[in-house]
Amino acid sequence: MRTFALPLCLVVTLAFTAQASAENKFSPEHIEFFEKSVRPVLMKRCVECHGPEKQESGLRLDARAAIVKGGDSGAAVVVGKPDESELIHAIRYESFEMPPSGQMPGEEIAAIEKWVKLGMPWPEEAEPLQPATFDERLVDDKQHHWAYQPIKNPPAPKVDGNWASNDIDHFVQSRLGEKGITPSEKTDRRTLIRRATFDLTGLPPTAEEVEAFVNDQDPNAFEKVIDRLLASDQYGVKWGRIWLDVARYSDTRGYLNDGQDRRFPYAHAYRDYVIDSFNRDTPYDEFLKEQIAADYFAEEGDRRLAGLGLIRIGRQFLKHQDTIDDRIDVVTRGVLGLTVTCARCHDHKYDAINMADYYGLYGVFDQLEETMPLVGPLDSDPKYPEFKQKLDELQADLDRHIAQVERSIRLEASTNFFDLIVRAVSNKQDVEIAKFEQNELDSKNIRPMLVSKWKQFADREWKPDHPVWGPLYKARELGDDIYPLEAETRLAQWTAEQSKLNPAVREALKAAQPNTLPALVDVYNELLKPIAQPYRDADFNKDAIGKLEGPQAEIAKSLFGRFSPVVLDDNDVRRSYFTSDRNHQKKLEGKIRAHEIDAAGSPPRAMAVVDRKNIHDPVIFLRGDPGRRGDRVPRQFIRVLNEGSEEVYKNGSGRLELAEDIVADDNPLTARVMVNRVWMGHFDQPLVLTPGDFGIRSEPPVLPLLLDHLATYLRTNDWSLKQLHKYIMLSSTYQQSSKDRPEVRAKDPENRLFWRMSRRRLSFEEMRDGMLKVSGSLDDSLGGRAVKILEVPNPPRRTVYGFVDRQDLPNLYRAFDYPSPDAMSPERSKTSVPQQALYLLNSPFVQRQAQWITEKWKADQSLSDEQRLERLFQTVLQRSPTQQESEMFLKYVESSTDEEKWNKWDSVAQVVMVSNDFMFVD
Amino acid sequence: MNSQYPHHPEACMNRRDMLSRMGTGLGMLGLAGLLGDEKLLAADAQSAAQAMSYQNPLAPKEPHFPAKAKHVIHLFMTGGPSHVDTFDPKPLLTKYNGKPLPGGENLRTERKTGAAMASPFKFQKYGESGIEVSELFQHTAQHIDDIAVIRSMQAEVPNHEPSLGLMNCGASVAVRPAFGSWLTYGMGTDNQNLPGYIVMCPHGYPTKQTQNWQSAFLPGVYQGTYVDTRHTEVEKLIENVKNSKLSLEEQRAQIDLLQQMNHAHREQRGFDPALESRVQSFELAYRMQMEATDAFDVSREPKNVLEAYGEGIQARQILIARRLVERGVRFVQVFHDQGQPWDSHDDLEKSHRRLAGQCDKAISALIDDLKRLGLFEETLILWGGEFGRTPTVELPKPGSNQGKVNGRDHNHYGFTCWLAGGGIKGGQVYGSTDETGFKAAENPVHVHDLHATMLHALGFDHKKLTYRYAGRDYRLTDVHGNVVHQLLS
Repeated sequence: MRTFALPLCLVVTLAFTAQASAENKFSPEHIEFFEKSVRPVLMKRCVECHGPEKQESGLRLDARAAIVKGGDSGAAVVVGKPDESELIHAIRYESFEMPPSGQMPGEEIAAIEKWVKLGMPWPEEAEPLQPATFDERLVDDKQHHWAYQPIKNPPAPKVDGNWASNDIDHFVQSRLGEKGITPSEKTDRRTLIRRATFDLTGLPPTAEEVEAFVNDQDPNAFEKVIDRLLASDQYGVKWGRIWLDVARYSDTRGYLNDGQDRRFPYAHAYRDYVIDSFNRDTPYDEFLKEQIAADYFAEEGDRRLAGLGLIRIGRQFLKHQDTIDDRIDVVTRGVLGLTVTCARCHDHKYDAINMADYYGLYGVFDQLEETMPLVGPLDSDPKYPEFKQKLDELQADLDRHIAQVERSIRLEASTNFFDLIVRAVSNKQDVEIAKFEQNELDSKNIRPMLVSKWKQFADREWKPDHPVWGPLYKARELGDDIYPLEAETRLAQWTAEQSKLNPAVREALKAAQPNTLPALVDVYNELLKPIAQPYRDADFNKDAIGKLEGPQAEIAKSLFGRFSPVVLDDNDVRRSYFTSDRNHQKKLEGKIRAHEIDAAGSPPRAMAVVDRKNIHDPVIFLRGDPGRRGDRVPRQFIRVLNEGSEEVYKNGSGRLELAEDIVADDNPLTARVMVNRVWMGHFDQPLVLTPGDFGIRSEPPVLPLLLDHLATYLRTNDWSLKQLHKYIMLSSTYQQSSKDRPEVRAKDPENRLFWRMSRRRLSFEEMRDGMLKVSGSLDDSLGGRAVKILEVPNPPRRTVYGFVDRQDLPNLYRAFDYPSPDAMSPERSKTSVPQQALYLLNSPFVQRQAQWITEKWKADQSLSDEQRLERLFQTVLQRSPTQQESEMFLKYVESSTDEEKWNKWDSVAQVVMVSNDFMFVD
Repeated sequence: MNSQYPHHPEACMNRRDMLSRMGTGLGMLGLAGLLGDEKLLAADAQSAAQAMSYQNPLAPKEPHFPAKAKHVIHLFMTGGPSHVDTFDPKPLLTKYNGKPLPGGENLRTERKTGAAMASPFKFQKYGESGIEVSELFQHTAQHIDDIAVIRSMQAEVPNHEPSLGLMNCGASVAVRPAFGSWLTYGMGTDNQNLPGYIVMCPHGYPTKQTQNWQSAFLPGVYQGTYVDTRHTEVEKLIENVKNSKLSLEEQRAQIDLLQQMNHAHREQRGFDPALESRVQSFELAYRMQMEATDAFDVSREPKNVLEAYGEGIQARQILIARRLVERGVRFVQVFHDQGQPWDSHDDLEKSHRRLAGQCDKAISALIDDLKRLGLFEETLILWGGEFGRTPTVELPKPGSNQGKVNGRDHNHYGFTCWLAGGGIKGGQVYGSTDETGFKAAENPVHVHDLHATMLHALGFDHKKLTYRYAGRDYRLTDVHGNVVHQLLS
């Protein structure tokens, strides 16, 4: 638990200015009270905005005199009268609401009230309060913030009676007892098996399963149900999806302005890996290590490599830094419950996480290369040979295109000297050059990169008295308008006998007498073309110019020398592409990608990463701006979790070391965050209300001992999630009724202490899958590429296999609170809006499920309406209708007429299927 | 952070409110009381909404302080209309037409531009304020005394997607909620029978697609509801708005059965607002079917109104915007067309004339109409694109506008938007570009400032409309934005 006293060593040397005057002599007890209970509160809650750095509303709360003096809205305190003091009103949230980040705990408010009442005791020393430094916060948080304390293994408290089944119940019952609350009775068996089946598989039970359980006399009957459900492969479908919320799963990359297919080629491999890992009950620590660093220990072909999809599956942002930021976020907020990415532009405002922590991790996730390793045998699909043949053809097309463009570029660079040089030399705007060309010469498309190569060459190599380039240097200096005026004089100098110009250049100038700048360039054009001839003939091998002799050799030596504008490296070639070249290349690449995505027989690959070869330590980007480089920082774990260790990562990017730090015994967050998530999956609300933020601003859990008990359980049971589910579900706490008890509700309206089971609405996936299940049309097979479940014919596969396009997430998904796949999602919102009801009333999909339910018996003349109703209720709700229900339904059936394509029983089935009874789990 | 805006998505009502509403039997409201109502007026819908605010994140909420504007219509000229051809005359361009602009190199935009390009359109002074507007918006210009023209807008980069992100969501790159999402989060909506945030765009999505109206980390309910206004049949406009099997009367009987069953279910379980709110949502859905059909059916307008708006899809969707606002929809966005129609890299004269011709008359009619209905003062209209265009001609480039030298490139350094209606002081020009029109000169207004100002007109302190997400309080204007008080009445 976080205490509100700071250790004295931290209290920055003390407070108070001038008038600690004679009349204010405070007793040592009062001073001690101030030091213990008031000073830390002021420092922690107030001084940041009302202190030496900032004075919001003109108010300072770092010295007694300043507090008395007050700010823009007058005196903050009436000494001795808390009820008349504005400061007290503000912290009680009666006037201003201070601090704005959330109301202070009751003890702290009480302390400030008492302090005002005592006359504001303050010691007689100098120096106002200072906000704590980062290092002080680090030490303080480590020592005091609840979430950073080691996980304890608290003994289960003793409780009366025989309600408790396992230790979970001891913690719950004991806490309830403190509030004078007794837990709720056990729920009935039908409700229990429905709850358990939805909780573990995301599907309703069948009527037969319910019946069998209701009639099972075995004392371990429920345990057998749990074991059966945990062994079902549908378990992975349900809990895998819960993890995919965390992993921000999507089948598309998001918007990239590259004209490429937006689909990830192998997103599904990650989704299938996750589902499979839950079904295998991969220990949670291993599961995390695989997702962060499988490539360190798994060979090509190993299924675990697919886990690295966690790093890859996020949105591909236009700015690379945002993509890295998202990777840091999914690991830190998703796994550790820490909002590390707040420290991207400045140190975290609340948590002791600074930019060095952030950029340390940036260095880990930035230096990766994307790979697509096999995660099974290459030819595991029998159609692989056909696939491969077509792939080779497409690849050959691409290679041919690239070779052809490269050849054009190299040819242009060694042929079109006029077009390139004139642009490098002329200072006319492009529009005029374009006009000049249109009139005077063939219009050509000029590659700007080749022009800039010439500009670079000119800048670096040309000199006024250069034997080859001297004239061009001068002309460039004079410009288009001045050169013609001086051409005559200049030419006379250049062509004079004593000129030091290269004889070939001199002769050419003499012959042509170029009196405009383009004409001068043209002289060089004629001169250079033959010199580059051997190079072109030799397939762009620069050694070929060795055969030139005399003046030509001198020109060639320079033209093919340093900063040569003719000899291009691969980088130059790539940057010389026209948009149309690049577009065509992308089109061909897109065909390959589409073939890999769409064609049958593609090999089982996954989206993974490996470390780059040369790893360096990252630098801090000041204010998050990559253009403003700060200190170089080591790659290492977040220091607030790194018990005094100075260890830095050395093994490659450091991902494996990071993963090991994350699952290490002395990191208390990983287990706590995960048991909190599992608990939320069963009780509809977590123990820690902010599943993605266990930092300083998170509210401590109301059942801290239970949280630690469960975390210990997880870690000491080989991180097995299946065992954790079973342990939770065997508790009496889990098996409570969800029925309201008004007298208890008055004490704990939000059921934070779990005095009953919280009723929960089905998630979007549970709703859709549940309807398919009761209509008998569900295809519950596992794995494979995503399918478009919302498009006719609406493949009846489980919703987790539906295509998730983060660029165009269907309104339907959003209407039912499906999370945005653009960032790690700690929990889903719960809204109730008419669009949901419209879907359930009017969508052809829902109507069809209703028709499939009734199809089996509506035309059977041997059945009475009562029997039909019984069948319907058993199918959808696995129970008989009540007397009251029978009456209302039969009355409806009698009074309705049939339409040709829509039977009145279809209407009835739809009603039962969209009722609160179906849509909620008690 | 204001306690009115809770940190956690599920806590859409605070505890005190919830307790005070316990046991008031909300379920009854949806049943007998509303059966048989032919048409619910917005006022009824509103009172129903207030009664069921538990878990209804769209229930109307008061803004931070009283303000005139209650609705927004955003007329989005996607692609970037040229300011120097519409609301920002630059005689200098005529003088230098075909010649390099004085003052050296052109500013860097997406593509290379060359010589100055004179506007092919005539400008003229309008109204008492004498503000100059080009012939393209001659009808809109009749209302210039109600319009505040901001000639010094600035965005951040000369590319569509980031600029659309900035204009719609206040962020060029990061995934952030749209203005309409923020506003419905902050204010809810007055008519629960219609979505609170409606986005219209004919023939498909604009560039950047649904990201233009995403709710991002805000609950999904605040995402814009997209409507393809190419269609006229209401069932194609709003998903699942019509039942193909049952008549309304038959469906009412079906819903009554459902509600009876839900009611019995609840009786056995005792108090649970989540059950109640779901009961309510079916009543709302039932009414939305009628209300939406009505709202989108412009044929119910009198002939003179239809004529005032003119022909075509633009006219229809701008008229629908008015019908939606009239019914209490909080935020209506009207994208001109799919893609980025105003992106005139070439043939600017022809394209701009066609595009303006499609919407000018309807925009003028919209202002008239809102005034006639007494809605002008409570409706904030924003007109503009994601940026403007260069005063210089775009140079031909293979693969795009080869062979054409008659268009303008993107320009984020300076462009024009205008505001009118609720809380806006019309008849003024605010800010200016330099004499070439390339760059905002006087009183630059960044998009963040525009957002801050619009929120102010709607009664919000943009610094206090926040949402706690991933450890931090986010807002539309991030850490930027200054309210331009001169724009406000």
